[in-house]
Amino acid sequence: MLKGLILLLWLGLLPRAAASERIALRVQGLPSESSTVPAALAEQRVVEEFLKRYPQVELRPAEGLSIQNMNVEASTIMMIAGGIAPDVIRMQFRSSDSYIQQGIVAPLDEYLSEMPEEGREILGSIPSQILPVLRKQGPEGGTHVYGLPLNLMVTGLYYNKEIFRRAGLPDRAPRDWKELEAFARKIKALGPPVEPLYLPSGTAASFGLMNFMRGAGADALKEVGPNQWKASFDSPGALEAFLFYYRLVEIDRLAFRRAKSLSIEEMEDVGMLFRYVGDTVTIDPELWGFGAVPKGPGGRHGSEINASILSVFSGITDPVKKRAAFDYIAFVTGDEADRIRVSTLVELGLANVINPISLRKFGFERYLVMAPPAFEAEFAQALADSRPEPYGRNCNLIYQEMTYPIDQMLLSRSLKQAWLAGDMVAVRAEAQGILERAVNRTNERMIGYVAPEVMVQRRWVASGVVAAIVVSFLVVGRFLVRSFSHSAAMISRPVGQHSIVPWICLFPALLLVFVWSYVPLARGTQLAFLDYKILLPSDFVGLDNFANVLFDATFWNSILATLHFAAWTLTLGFFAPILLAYGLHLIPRQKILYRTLYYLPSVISGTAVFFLWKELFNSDGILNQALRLGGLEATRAWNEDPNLAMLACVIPGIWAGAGPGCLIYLAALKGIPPEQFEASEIDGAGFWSKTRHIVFPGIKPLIIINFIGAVAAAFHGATNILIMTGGGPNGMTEVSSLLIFFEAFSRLRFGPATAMAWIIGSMLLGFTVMQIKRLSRMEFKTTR
Amino acid sequence: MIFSPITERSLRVRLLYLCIYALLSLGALSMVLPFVIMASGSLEPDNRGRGSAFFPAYLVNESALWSRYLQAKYKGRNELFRMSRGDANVDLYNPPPAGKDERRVKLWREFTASHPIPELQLATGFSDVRASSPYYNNRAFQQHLQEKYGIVEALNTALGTTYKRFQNVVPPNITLTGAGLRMTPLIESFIAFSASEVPMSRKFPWDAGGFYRAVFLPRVVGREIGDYNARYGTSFRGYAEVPFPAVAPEVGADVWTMFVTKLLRPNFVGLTEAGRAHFVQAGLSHRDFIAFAARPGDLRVETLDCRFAAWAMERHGVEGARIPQPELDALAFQSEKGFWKRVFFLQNYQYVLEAILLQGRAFGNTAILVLLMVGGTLLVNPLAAYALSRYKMPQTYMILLFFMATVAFPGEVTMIPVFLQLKEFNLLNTFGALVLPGLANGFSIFLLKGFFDSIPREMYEAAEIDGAGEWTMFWMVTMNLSKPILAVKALAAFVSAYGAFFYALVLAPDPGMWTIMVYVYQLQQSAGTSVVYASLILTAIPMLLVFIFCQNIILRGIVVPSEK
Repeated sequence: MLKGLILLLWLGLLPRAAASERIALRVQGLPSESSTVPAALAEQRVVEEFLKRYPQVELRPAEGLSIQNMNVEASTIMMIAGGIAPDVIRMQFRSSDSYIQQGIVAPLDEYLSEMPEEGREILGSIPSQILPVLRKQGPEGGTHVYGLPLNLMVTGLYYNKEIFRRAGLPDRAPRDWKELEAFARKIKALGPPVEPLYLPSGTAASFGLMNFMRGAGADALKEVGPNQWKASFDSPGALEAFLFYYRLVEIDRLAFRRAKSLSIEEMEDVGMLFRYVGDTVTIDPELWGFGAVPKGPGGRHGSEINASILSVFSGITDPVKKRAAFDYIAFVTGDEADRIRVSTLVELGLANVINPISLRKFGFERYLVMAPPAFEAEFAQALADSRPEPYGRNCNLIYQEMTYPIDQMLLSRSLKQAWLAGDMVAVRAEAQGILERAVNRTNERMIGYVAPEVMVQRRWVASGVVAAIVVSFLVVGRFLVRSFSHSAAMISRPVGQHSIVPWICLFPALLLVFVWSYVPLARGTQLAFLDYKILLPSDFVGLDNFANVLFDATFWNSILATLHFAAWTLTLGFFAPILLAYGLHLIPRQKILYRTLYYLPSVISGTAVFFLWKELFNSDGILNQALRLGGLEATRAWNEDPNLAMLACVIPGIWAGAGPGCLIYLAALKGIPPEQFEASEIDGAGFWSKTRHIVFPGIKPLIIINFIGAVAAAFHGATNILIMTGGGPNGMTEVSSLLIFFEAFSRLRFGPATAMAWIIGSMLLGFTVMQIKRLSRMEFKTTR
Repeated sequence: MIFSPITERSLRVRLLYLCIYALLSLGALSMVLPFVIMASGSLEPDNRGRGSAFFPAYLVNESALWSRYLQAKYKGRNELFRMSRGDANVDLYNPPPAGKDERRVKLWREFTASHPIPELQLATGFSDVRASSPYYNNRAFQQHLQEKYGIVEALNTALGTTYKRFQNVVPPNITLTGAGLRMTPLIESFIAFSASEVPMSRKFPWDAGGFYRAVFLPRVVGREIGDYNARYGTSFRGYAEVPFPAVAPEVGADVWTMFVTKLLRPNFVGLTEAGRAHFVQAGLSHRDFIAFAARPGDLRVETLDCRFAAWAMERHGVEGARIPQPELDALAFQSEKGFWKRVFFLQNYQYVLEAILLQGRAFGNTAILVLLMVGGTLLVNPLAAYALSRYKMPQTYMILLFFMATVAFPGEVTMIPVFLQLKEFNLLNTFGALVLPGLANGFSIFLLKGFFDSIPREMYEAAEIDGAGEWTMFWMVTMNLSKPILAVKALAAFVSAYGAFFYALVLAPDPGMWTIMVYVYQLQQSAGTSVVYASLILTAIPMLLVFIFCQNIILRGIVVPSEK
């Protein structure tokens, strides 16, 4: 009866839908048309089938350009803010809550309730562990389903069959931590270049740690109330996981860490690694065996379950379009699409890489013989024990947050000494301390939890700081107005008559500066006092943004990094063009040749310079090769080495900037009247004395002005560092402007980002004012 | 000159000059070296090869060219090269010298003369399945389709594809292993293209025996031949000696069967007499029969190497004949090496030109943006500066301060609101978004005003007497006398408009609005290093030309502040 009714409704809708205009859906994550890898072919067929069933729908890719070292959220956010939001949004577990709480994705309940069995069938086929990720309390308080999972993936421990054979190990993955360690020792005995276990390093190193955390029964976060989360990686289980990790990496050296993922060739020398297995495995099952992540003291396998979540953009106003977006999601995450994927891969001869559960589900049991024998059992076990990636508030930051305690432990000398001395009580005490501090920090930064009495205190400090900023701006403004009116009166000369003419000439510039500098400044200032949300109404939070930023260690770290960066750019970058110009000025012949050579680098446009140098800084790049020829041990890419990363961010700028930078000094040097040199020559002055008494005074005003400008400039320039290091390693190159950029565009925290910008802006105020004041007393001439 | 001509000849000054020249030359070297690396890399056909970073060796050295040739022919994939040699120990990036056994070649020639080779038995060399690949046959295939269909829509209709341009078409991934080829119109047209337009010398046979010996056995049985000998009680000296018969052998039948039933593409596997009977009984598809139901005696491998060996045995009584691929490669190389040298030299640049500069509206967009930016800056800023310099107004200093204060604005604060404002004015995806926010520059106006102040008042008075209007005065006096400084401003505007990719990306996400630099950035995400280098060099050319031809004007236009 019900089915009949639905059918009737469906038939009634059909002609209208066919007659109505085509619906264009902008979709994230459409398969690339030109890709011929098996997974993409399968996806292409799923899409083809969808279009066959919904002929009125047109699918358009909604891919923002990906920016290196920048997470995918950023381009989605920009698309949404720019009014070209995708209709179907693809999100990760860890970032889903931000999307939900910002009101970006729409609840799907109304559509699910129209489905057969009110969608229970759909939801029923989803592993129960991940239902809480999809069904959540939304910004308005009600609990809804916000998305459906695509491509379920489970982590496992892959082992290299060849290396296991050579080490005399059984053809299976280790079952628990003890066995993992024993296996790793045997592999280690094979000697270099074989490495027992690979773990990622870099800003997301804790991603590898999570495999042990889950095994030890510990969680990164725990839910203390409905959608109220607190960091919990200081629990006893977590401590065990951290210590085990520490031992593998630092004490026994059974694991090697690297930020860059391994290529297929490099994997040949690695014994074990953690990796996802989903509907498609990416590595050759002939070479790699699969096992569930080893059990820890908690007695559970530490596998993770993950997926992409497809959701509908909440800003779609046309109900027909919204419906079509849901239809798309329901189809590609549904059984029929899975059947197409599995059968395509079987057809392509890849039955041995498909997870056995899917093979059985779609009637391809006979292909199970192609899969490695233990695969099915191991996969079932991994799935049964698996837990979802952290998905609470701001969890896209969790890996970064948990990496800080790892780095602190790895860098701590006392911890290592205590361990080597066998004093485990001291080891535990210190590790526990590190974890507790890190948890507090995470609670504050990520979850935004600060004890109320602390917050009151902070607000007082913040109001003091904000008052100081306001006062300094006022004082400085007054000072500027005074000094300007004084000097301006001197420059301007009374010419011509009063008329409307100057105002006409000034109008375009005045208007443009007002609209594109002053108005944005005012609006930006407003942002600093809001908990800004892109689509939902923003809340006024008073001084809280300032209060939190001022007590945020990351912010102060970024200031330190900025000073570090500024020190390098000012010592190397600032003086290089001056010395170069003097050299070019002194030489009697081939000036133009040298000048052109030095100018050459700047013809490569800005950002490309950093791409080029990144290539040269590579672990096997030309610079490391040269160092190795010189007998030095140089294996790490410069931009990943803690000692060289900052230099790697500075050098390309100097390389490209020295040539154009020296031109102004060249001009200034030409402006020094030659008579002065002749006179001093008669007085018997030598080279140094001329340099000191004539040349230096001649270009001093220019140097001072440029220096002030360079100090201010050293506080900017985030894009280049973003490309070179992305802020790593260990946040050592995360300068303030990069932090602000990340806060705003990858964490959606526009309020704190603007507060930071104001604080830094006020720190630089002095320099800028000095610059303006000096400039107002200068006259400007070309030298020829 | 800071030294007089007489002192200049003294020893100390000469020593000083020597030091300065030495330092400058050292510095110049560090300026130029990355360029040399880049230029040399941009001429390499594929950056995965090892060689001198400073000069593309294949241009002068025949063995380097041979190595490059093989890398391109075997698509940079060691697996394929090892298959063609039947040897697990050869390395495509350090290939052995060309083979010379003419007797084998003669035998092979005789075979091919009497047996036409079906296209499906051959792999098309010099092609790749990566989307942004400059490989020769990728481009040849794209051109072939373009000639055949004219416009990309016709191609999409004919082949049921959804390409946006011909450059996106990628040859299908055809392999020796896998579960059979699902013939699509695209695959069919590639095979037809390969059959009709790719000469035999640019292909190589799918050699099942070679793959078995060089890739499969070492992987499955063990890296050393000792592993195989121990398992099967044989005494081979290397995997190269292990036979790969067309039908299941007595020794090592299990690995043979595993390879033929589970790995080899079913198109390459035929049935024996007995097999045909079983096949009818089983009632499965050809593929499933091979994978699940066939018994060892049912199957016969029908790749070229097996057929050739059978023919040689039957016709000449030669045992274990192998396809003389090393010799065939060497012959093909000798006859075409000049051609390939030219191809390798040019292919990255041709690819970049086709992919970026000549496609879509990239070139036009860049030109418009640069013109708007340069024209706009040269109008708005000097006009304002002129007004401030020429007219004594009571508000002059306030206005100057209004302009100068923008220097102190924290850029990160204004970044987000500027973006929101562009959206509100509906300017996103227009040139307005790229030009308007940065057009008027407070500091620039201040600088220009300072410079205009130094223009002698008499010039204006003379012009006024001649009856010049305001516009004429601005144009003929102020602008005319400030050409060099304006040239510097124009250059700065040009550089920023030409190089801007980041903002172009954020403010104009519509590909119809993208400039050359945005396309280059896109290319950098997917292409290999050598193509990236070529794109950097090509895009640097306009900047280089501007500097070389304008450097004297620019130098004269640099404004130096000095204390009053």
